[in-house]
Amino acid sequence: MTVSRCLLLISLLSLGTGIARAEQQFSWGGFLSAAYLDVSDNSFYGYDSGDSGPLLEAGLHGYWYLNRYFSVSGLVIARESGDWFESGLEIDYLNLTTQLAETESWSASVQLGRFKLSNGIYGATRDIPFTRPSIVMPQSIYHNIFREQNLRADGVRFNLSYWTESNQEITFSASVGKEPLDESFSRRFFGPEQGGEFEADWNTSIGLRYRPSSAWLFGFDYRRLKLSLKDEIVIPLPISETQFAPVPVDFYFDTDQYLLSVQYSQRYFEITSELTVREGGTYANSDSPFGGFVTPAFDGSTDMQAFYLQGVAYVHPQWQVLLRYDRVHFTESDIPRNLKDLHDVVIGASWQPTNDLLVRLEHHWLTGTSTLPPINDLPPVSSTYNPERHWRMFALELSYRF
Amino acid sequence: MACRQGRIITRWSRRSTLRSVLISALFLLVLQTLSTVAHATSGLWVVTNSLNSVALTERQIKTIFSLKQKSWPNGSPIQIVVLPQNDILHERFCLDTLDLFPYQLNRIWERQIYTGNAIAPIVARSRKQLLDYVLTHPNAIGYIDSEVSDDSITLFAID
Repeated sequence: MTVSRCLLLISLLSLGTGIARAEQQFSWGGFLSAAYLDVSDNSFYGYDSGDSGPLLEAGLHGYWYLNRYFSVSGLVIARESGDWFESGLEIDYLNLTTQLAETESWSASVQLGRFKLSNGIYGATRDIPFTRPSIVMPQSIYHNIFREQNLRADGVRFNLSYWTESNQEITFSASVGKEPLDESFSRRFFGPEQGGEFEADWNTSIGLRYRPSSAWLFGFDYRRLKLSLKDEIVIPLPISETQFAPVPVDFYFDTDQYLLSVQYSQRYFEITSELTVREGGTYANSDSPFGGFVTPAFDGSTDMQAFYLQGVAYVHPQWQVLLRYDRVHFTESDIPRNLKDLHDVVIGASWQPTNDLLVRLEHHWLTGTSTLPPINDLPPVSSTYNPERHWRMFALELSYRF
Repeated sequence: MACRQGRIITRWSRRSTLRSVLISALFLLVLQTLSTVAHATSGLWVVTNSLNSVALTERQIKTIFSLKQKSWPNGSPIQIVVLPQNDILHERFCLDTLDLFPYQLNRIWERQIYTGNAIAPIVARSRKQLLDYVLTHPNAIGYIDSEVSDDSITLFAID
């Protein structure tokens, strides 16, 4: 089913909504969103699809309350967002939730199936136009290149919440799962010609949230992410002036990521900052007798420090103004300058004339090309895809929810 | 009339007849004389269907409207019905009762809903539609800003 058919189907469903769409034990809803990204240079949006293009998103969620102990829920998303990503339908989550306990002061539950990962303040709902802070998320924490890897996993997730009489709240989550990966991630990693699908290990994540009052929110997340691409990379190794020996290699990406979040909320403004430290690297193995000549080229560091500082002013019940500084910095010294850093200054505004409609626009001034696909955007390839150090991006989005 | 845990909350059901109004007025007068119950000065009431007979504390109201408590004591799912985010009554309810700004509550809801953890609240277009929904759905809970005399609903006055 094409994206346009998915969008049409979800549009028709939205026409039938109203106050009757949550009847007793089942509720459903969704959203439709159309945006246009106008990018001055570089391949943030796509390679064959052009630097600029539309971003179409639609989602349909359902929640089925079986009894006080069990529920089933899911979200299907249709996306068209340039050729760095697959177009069409994807199951965002689909799981069985077991409510282990629910009292006046705490609750505990386990989700089995495909679940959302705990990943910062906006990570779990970054695809929901009404929830994310901007059309293009801060790339320091929510890189586009790792979109699926930071969104969801197949496995099991445990949730524990505790809240006090004075309305303080502590939430803890832990999960073990495999992130679903498609061929587009291989393209984002090694370029458009790369085929095959990465496979995730059983990766772990831990999330902790503490809300001491309505004004403050603190968060900490830890994630282990190990991915591998096997039997898909073959390096032609010259063994004479006219002969090449094909050397197959298995590639690995292995990192630990720590994320700190803080948010200060008042009636007319909100300040948010998130900081991440990532440690790890890439490497390759090969069974070929010539493997030792090839695999060192895949050794690399993914050590990174990144943060953003964001202010949102609620100037009117229908109007918001956004200002953000976003910075990515890879710590390895031998990374080319453009790939080492990314600075993004964003100014944006949103208008929500009704509960269901949202209009958003924003402008980005960017310096550097770090985190842009393909990840191994090394010379001479870099001059093809992301040659410009200074570039701009304008985005306009219309969203509707039902 | 019941009073539970300090600030919370007066609870009563009333008949839509003159007699019930008079009885209720007399009842309130007695209580005022005894000075045992705080006045409901905020002009806000949480409203539930009388078929679902429960007593709610302030803490429970907060956890229910934050989509954390999801079931009634009888095991049926809680269905929240609210007014649009920009409605002045919704804003008052968020600030006075939940101690949250409306945009914060909305974000909490979206996070719960879009991670598969809760039934989405119903958004009524008007106060009348909200009340009608509670009247016709035993599992519903909402809020209003004026007293209503109807056997079918239970009011919890927010102090």
